[in-house]
Amino acid sequence: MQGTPIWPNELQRPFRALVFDWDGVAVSGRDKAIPHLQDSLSRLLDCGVLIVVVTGTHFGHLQHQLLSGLGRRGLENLFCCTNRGSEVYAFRDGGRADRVYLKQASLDDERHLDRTAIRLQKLIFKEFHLDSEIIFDRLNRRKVDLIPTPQWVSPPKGSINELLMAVEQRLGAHEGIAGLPWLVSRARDIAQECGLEDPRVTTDIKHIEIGLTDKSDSSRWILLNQIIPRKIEPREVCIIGDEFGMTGGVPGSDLLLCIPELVSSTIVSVGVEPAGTPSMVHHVPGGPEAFMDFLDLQLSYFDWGLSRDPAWLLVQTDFDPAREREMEALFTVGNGLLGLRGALEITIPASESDLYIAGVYDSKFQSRPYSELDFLTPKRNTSRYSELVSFPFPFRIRIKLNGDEIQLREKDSSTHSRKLDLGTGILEVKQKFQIDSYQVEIISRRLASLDDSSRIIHEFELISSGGRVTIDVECGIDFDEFQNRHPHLLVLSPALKQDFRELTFFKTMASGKLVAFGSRMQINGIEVQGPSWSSILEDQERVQVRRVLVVHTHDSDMEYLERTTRERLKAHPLKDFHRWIGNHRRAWSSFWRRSDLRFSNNQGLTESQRFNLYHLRIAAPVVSGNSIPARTLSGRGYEGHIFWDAEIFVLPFFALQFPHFARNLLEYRYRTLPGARRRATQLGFRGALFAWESTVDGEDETPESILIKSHSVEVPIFTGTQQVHVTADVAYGVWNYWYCTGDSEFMRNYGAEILFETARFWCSRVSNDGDQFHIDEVVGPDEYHHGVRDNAYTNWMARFNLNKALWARDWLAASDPEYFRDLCLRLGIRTEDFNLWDVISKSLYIPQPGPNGVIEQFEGFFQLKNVVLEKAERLKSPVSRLLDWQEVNASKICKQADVLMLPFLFPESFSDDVIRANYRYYEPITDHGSSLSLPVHAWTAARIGAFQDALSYYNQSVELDLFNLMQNTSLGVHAACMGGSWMALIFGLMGVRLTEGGPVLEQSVRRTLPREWGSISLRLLFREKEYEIEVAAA
Amino acid sequence: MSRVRSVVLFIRRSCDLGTPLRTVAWIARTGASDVLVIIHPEMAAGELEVRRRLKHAGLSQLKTRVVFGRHSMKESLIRLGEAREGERLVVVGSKERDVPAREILDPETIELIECCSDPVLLFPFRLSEFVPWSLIVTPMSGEFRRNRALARAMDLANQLQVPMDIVHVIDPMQKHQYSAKAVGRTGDQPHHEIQPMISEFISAACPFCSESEKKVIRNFRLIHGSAILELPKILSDTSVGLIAIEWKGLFMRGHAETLKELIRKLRVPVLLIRETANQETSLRAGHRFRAN
Repeated sequence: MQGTPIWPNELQRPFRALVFDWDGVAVSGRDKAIPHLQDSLSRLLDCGVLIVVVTGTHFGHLQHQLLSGLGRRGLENLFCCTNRGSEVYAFRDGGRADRVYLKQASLDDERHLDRTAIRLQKLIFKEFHLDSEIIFDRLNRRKVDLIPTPQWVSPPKGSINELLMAVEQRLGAHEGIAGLPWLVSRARDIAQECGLEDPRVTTDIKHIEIGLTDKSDSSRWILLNQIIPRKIEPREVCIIGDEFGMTGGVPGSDLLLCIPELVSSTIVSVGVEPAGTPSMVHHVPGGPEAFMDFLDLQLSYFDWGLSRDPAWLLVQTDFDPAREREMEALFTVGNGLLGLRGALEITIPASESDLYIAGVYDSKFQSRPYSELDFLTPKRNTSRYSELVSFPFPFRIRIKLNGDEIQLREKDSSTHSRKLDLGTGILEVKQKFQIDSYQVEIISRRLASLDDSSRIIHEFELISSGGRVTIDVECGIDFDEFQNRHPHLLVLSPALKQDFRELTFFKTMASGKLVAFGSRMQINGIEVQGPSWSSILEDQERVQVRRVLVVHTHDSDMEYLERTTRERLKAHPLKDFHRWIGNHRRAWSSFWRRSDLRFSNNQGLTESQRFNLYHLRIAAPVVSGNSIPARTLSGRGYEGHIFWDAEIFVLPFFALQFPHFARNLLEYRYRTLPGARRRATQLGFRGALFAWESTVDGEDETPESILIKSHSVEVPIFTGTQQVHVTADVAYGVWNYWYCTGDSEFMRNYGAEILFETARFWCSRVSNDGDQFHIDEVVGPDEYHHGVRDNAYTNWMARFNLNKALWARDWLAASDPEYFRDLCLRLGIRTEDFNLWDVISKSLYIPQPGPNGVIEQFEGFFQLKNVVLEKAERLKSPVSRLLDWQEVNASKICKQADVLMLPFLFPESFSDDVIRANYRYYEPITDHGSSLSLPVHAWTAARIGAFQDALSYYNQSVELDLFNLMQNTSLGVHAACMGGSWMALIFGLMGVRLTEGGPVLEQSVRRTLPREWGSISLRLLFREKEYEIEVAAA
Repeated sequence: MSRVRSVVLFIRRSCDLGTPLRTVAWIARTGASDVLVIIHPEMAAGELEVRRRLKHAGLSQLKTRVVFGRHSMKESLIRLGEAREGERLVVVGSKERDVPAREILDPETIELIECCSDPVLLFPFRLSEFVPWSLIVTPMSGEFRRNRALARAMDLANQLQVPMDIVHVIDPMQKHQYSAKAVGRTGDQPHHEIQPMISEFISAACPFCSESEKKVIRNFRLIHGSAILELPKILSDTSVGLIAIEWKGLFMRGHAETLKELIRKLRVPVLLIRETANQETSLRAGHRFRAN
């Protein structure tokens, strides 16, 4: 995919009319679904922009492709000029199409056209000895096909060079007569000889077309009937085509759109234009993708451009304060560096209106006096980085009407709604308050910029009605109950104001991180100083406020931080507000052009997947060395810790969509390698042991035990010391990234070292029993069992880790022997180490399928006590399961997929029979205490053809947060489940397999896809090549 | 946060006067500046005695109005009109004799509390004398939803500067313990789940309470067993001064059996807060609506 186009300054302004060619400009083919285009055009129409589609084809094609998905609003601004200037369609009465212009050919005209085409065909045969075909059934024109061969039935616009060569070869092979231009000229002469007074002859290389009208007639009709009556100046018109330059010696057909009366309009070509374009045409190649980008740019000038299409919206209406935190998590906006929960500007005291900054952590504070758990036991880790820091909401609004502050009270008539545009990451909030006889409405919009991750912008309109009123407004950082809500933060210089800019500095208590919030504000277009102002508003008067917030951090240098923040603020004049929105929107469009995933007949699943992909995108680390916390930057759950989720469940999506984010995830692990080495040493091992709960420096943040006060029970936590599979999971992530991208630079500089150090860890972690090696005292993915021996998943992954380290040795030694020697020297790895890895990888005990095909989860699992698991216990097990941990440890009950993780990650290594046997055995005893379990079960069930199970698990995993199935979405969305559900769909239900040659489909899958899904289409990027994949149910 | 600004105390012959009067006086001193004592007509002969007791309790020095009711308690309350949420407290005594649970409240008291949208402070028979209270206890069902009892109890606890405990009893014998909407259900490691879920549970129950107001919560007690058996055990703790319970608003036969049984067994005043229908949030993802 090409990068974002760079638009000349002349195009960086709003146009009131957009006139564009359809094929090759708006679409690359007539059978393509175009939801993004439809959405953008709908919004522009709704903003009052005149949209004129010009095409040579008939209206039926447009009706099918464009109009079926357009919204109903603003259609009076849409005109379709079809049949090469012979017809114009307008839309009225709820979308009904009316033909408002038709060029009616006389019988004589028809005869003249027929005669011209036949004479031209004869001429071609006579002069070139070539067969050609006449297409008669076109309105007011005839087409002579110069190359009616199967190879060139419907050539794509992108292949115009090849087409031209093929046509010229056909024509030019005969006695050196100048082919195409000569034919066009002759066709014009013949037409006049046949009686046509004003013949219009054009060519698209494949055809010569003789007609009564051409695109200039479309331009002229629009000029006279719409542009002039609407008082649109020609300079406010933009004409977009893809064929303006000479092609084969003939001027491009789109040049006909540029009639003299529109000479001062702006003209753009997004086509290939092999011979260049005339000087008045701006050439921005890129075809329909560039055109879409241009529409996004245009949209940003008119409004925030929220989608009108419900399929792109998450909407909350009505208001239940008890669910407010859940809503805040779902409606989070972010950009990978910043995560801002979707809080209301005027909110309730229980709101958790946090802003999170990736990578900013601090010591754990006992957050509530009524905490059930006593975290501050002597065994509690006292790391400086044990908890993600919550920063205060930067867009709090306080309003006083005639001196009385508007507050959200228990019983009032206020209304609150939210709308999140998943396509653009823009959140709109509407709040209405009734205070005595006055009504106040606040409509706000905010975004966390995707093109500049330190920037958040915010705009709100305040409308009061009910009479003249004195209003005091304060907007800015929410310092209410600051110490209770943000105990990690010290405010260094609250609201220091200078040069129209507001600066606030924070310092984290234990980790000492410095953070600056800088903002600028504008009221009704005038930049103001400070966060508050007073005014007298007349009835129905509106106030518009715009703010930009930049967030910067530094480890220790306050002066540097202040200087850079001031400089950044200076570079943020609010006159650029719309440009920021435009750039942000274009970045989102770029994301969705690759990542959108559609079920042709199941809008619900399309929308759920979009919601999940939206949240994955806003969590994607933009900075090398940051990863994705279990609940992203959308909530305080898991204290912002990073688990194996990132490499196993989230990384595959990014590796196959936007690999640089996947690389950032792995570079984070590389950055924590020193901590992982320390961790291994602390526990008596060599190499690197990655932290089970990781934050900044690789130290493990898992407590050793917790005290539950009301039960006077101390519950040991084994995961920190025993859930060592995370180390192999990181190695798996390294390999998977390499496999999907072929990124040698990463493997050389980072990956190999991770593989080596993790392999060293396993060598010291195994124990031997004669010739065989074992791994003792571990916790597998199923955390209900601790201290187990030979957990199938752990052992398999350890062997995988060792094998890939040996592969990396061979690869690095061959590709860069000098670096390989240096690395071994630096790490102290000797030949004997490699030999030991080889021995252990071959002799490590790997639990195998038994006679019934079932793999024992760990040694002795089959002998544990049988437990009947109630269906109702799925997804949310009773708390006793954790409190009675010893009893659970002795029972055959699993928290989540454990053995089933193996076929999920290594599908080619297991037969369907073995997978089926294990699914049948483990599924009934798994209570899905982790959200990670659901997508693995969806994948497995799909693989063995248990389709009802697969659909059920897939639906649950894809809708986990939207439907709050685990009742804990308020703590943030479940990133791994989102990534896992994408994997379950692609690799399970759709049957995509990644091979050396690229993604392939298992044909058998088509038979099992539910018909009601229709087809599923998506794009994957594999080793820098983009693959379009579509699977339809048989 | 709401503060109790007015108290309506119904006095009847069958009720003990001492503790209710002292309690009302205590609340009045913390800001409930409007105290209305409505004496039942049948107590007309005892007016002097009532005034003496009011004086003894210290109420006569506060802004206290004493009227002789000419109507039933329910009618008297209706005539007072509605108060703002959480700003009025109605105080009434229960029967002065040991009766089966289903008869623990007389019809007039039932009529009053069934019609009353304000919190009703009910003083049971055989009340232990603890004023000022040392602890307020609120039992909660474990559902993630608004709970007026917690909100009002927290208001009162803040006003009176009394700590409070929340008790969630999980009955392992009840099938509904597997309800997906229960705080006592968890899947992940306890250090990840329990504490944050309790925090979410409380914030959902009283979303209009601030963090500093929540500081009166001393403990969240997670108990396994039957509510009827476990709650009295907790309340036998001599430091408990008040139990605040949300109820559905119907006392007729077959309803509120657990509550009636508790009232019969308890030796502490009960703050009854009627459950109200919560407003629902509608969430639309794309074309689909989800409302719950």
